[in-house]
Amino acid sequence: MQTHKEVAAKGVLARALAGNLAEDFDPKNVDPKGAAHLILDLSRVSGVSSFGVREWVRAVRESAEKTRIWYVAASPRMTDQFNMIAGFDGGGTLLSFYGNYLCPECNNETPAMFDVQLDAASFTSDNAPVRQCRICGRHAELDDIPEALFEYAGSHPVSEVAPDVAAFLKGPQYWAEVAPGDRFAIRKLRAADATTYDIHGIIDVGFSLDSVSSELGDVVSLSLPHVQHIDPTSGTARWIEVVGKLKRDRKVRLVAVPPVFLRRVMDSSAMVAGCEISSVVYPTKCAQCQYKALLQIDPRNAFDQTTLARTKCRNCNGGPLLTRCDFSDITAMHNFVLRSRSASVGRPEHAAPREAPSERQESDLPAFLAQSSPSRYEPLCKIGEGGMSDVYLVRQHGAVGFRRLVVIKVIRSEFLTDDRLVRMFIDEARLAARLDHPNIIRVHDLGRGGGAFFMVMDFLHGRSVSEALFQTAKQNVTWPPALAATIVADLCSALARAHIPDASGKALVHRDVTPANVILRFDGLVKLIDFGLAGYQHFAKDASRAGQVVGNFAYLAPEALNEQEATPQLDIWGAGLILACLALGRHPFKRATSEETIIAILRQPPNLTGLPKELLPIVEKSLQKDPKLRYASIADMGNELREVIVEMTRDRKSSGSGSGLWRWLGRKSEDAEKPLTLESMLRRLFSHQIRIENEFSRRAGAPQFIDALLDASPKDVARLFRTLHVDDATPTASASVPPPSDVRSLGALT
Amino acid sequence: MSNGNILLVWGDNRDRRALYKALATTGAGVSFANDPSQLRAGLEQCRLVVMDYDAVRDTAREVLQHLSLQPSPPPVLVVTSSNHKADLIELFGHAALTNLVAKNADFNLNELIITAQKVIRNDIFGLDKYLSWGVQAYQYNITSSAGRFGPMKDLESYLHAIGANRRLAALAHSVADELLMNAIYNAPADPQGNPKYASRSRTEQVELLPDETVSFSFACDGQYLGLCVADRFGRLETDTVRNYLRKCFLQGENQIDTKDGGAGLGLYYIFQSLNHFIINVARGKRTELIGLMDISGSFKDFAQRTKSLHLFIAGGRQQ
Repeated sequence: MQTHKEVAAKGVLARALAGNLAEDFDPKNVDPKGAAHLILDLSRVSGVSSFGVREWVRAVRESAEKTRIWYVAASPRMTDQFNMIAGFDGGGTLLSFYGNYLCPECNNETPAMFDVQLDAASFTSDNAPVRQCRICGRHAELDDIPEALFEYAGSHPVSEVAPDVAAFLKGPQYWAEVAPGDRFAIRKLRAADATTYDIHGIIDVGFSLDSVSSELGDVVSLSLPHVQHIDPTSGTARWIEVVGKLKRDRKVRLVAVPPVFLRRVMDSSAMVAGCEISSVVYPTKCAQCQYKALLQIDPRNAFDQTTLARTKCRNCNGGPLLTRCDFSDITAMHNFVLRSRSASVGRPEHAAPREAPSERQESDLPAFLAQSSPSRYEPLCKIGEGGMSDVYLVRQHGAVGFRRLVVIKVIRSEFLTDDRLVRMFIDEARLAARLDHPNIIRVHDLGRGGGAFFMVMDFLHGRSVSEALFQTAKQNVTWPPALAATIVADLCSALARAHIPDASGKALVHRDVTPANVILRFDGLVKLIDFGLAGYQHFAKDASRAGQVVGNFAYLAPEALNEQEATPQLDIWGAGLILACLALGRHPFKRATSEETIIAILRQPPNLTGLPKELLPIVEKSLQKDPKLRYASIADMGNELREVIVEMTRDRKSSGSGSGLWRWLGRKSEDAEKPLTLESMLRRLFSHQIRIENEFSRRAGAPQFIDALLDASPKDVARLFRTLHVDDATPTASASVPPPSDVRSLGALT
Repeated sequence: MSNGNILLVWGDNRDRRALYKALATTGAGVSFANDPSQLRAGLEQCRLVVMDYDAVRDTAREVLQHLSLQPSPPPVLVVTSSNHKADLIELFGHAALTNLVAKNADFNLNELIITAQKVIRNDIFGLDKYLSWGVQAYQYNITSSAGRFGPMKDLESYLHAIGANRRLAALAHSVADELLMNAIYNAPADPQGNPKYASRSRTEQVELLPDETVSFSFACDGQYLGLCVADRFGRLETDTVRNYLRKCFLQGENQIDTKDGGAGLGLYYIFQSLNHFIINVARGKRTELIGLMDISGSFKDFAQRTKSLHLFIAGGRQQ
């Protein structure tokens, strides 16, 4: 064994070891040379003998007296030693290790790295994380016995990595593309108007481009040959969400798309909707010299055996090249790309320059709504958009002059070819329509027009909890605990209705209880919306329901991050987290990066410093990592909240939250005797919107804002919502909760 | 016709008939012990005891303890469906245990038949007994510690050529190295029986005398890869094997030997890296260590297969 590579920086010495750990092992290989932390990369250690192990243990024990040792990327053979030999770590810490995956289709062996922090739940549940074959993109299986492979990692959890070590592993000096503690890595390259992201590793719940999203060009290229795996549920959904934001006002180009990615695209075409696929890559090997390489193909061209025969091997200049998996697999993928490409050609927004949202809102009104007979639904304006659908404010006309405002959610045309997403959309309508409860949005109808599905729902004149949190942070006030408790108690009441078991004894679990999905109507009514991810308790993991797990990962419960079965306790977590956010004015698990937030959710206790003591036991109980330790039912949580509200209302001090809030509310001290209502709080928080709405009503000569909307022309309504949208976009530096751009604005129904 | 007696202590009546047929093919008489008195009577005469550890665990423990006190007990084959560490530690603690089969779904009676035949016929040596008929083995004589590298390189090329799983190939390479290091450094002894090279550092090269030559062979029949290393000293004791394995499975402070010479992990590494580990000893004459790995499937398939350890002493009885 010898030192393959060595880098030192700021008290950290990192060294990659390579070769066989045998009797000739030199202790210098683990000499820290005075560094406070020694990182040993074991990925290249191929063989181990019993004599080598003894020398190793001796040497690392000595080194551990002088430094702290961190083992990363242990090869399978070295991982065996951690599992088999007591004290093999010499007191050091194993951060990551490799396991082998085997593709049952093409028999390819694919190594995959496990992170001792991020994958901790898999180690104890003996459910190995899912990975794809790097060659054909299909589901690969762990080629080991989980309880044997994860024995050491499962019994040696890592709660914290020294900051210097964590910084080094994420820094430019470290040689691995994807550092332990990260799922993926992005390299950003900027050239003229185009920005290229080179994406490495795994795309799952933590995937984000936030860290490199400044100064983007008009064209963004995503280079994908180093993507190793896309989680079929969270990865697909997260990709659609992240890239969806990018392509709103940029041209997005996918470069060197590998089978791992194409396989997911074949399951969910929404992943490439609106993107241009510039090239695809297929793994090949030379029939003569066996040299393995990725063959890059322009997707405009057909791909067949002659393509392979024509291409010379890069290594020996001979050939022919062979695909490394079933040829029919590759052709199926390629044909799919050809079809997707032709389907996306000519979409005007791809080639269009950036356009103001206001211009798009009016031009994007779906024609079929206006043509519906006899003008039953009159579209007014687009008020929001989500990952796969747009939301419109619509006037519904009925007999003898009947009119009312509704909201229509329409699945976007590029997703109509994706059966899975269409089914999700229909399921959402079906599930929500079954629930009749004052705190749940009502779904009136599911319709079809112009080839698209649409859902007709209540118009909610209000704002989401997410937006309200943003406003309180912006205006530097906190929610009075009693009001926070009232909101969540109403939410519990809505969820309790959903959790009532159906005829088969199963409860409906919302699975996306986040601040963005709880609407606070300006009249003080709380409404739960968006059943897009909902499903019945204990439903099996089903690939056809891909993309349902993720709403906002920061609000996912530990069991959801681990992709375990959904139970009503999942929603209890969501309700508890919303209560904590409201009462604290910040997210109790929020960290600097997505990965750190996920780790905090999985392993660390919530930061509840400053939480009112009356709410503390409720929040603590609802945020237990183990679902079994949470409330037995959401109704129990609601009942406890209501008891606390009664106590707090008796004690005016906690219901009012101090004189600062009263001053902010513009109320006189004698008014402190009167209870603060949700309505008055919202009117103060969104006073600017209320002012605009009042002015709108005054000009229309209507007594109420809703009446004004019923009479106004679509053009005026569009202008009004544009004004409100601009008001939302005002940036702030003090916000510690997600800004409205991350959530749904007035169109909170997407 | 009868070449002695095999005593069967088995719980499941449905298995008994199949076992009877299989074991009777050895030409031995097969008898069942249904109660302790039959058991005690049968033990006196028998040449092999076969026990179903899962079904008659208490009886099996009692029998193993009873036999460990005998001056020359018969070999005992224990069949269990558990290969959990705790069970293995307990079983390796029984001095009378010579053969252990931790069975899995792939378990078939061939292993029992071969074991019984070896004991009954007192013909214990040879890799060929475990591979399909007609398989040709590659054979080498090794005369120095450095001389092992050539054959091991050949083994590596062979495994690559037959398309063995990479991780299994690496394990086979490690097993061959451990077996050869054991035969080169630990086995040779002077006429008084004192080890000659055991205390030397493994980095120190050793040249073997002509009568210390180690033989190494390997072969594959498409399912099993067989590795076989033999020395001419016959010094390996069954107690040594069991105690080393037990110590290593316990993973205590003394798992690794700190004294000069070997690390005391070799047998543990070998056992953990194989499906079947067979040790044949003719005392003072020959020790033959055979390793069998099922390389027909993936690493996971290999790891899930039946695992066994067989200690055979030429002459049948343990002493």
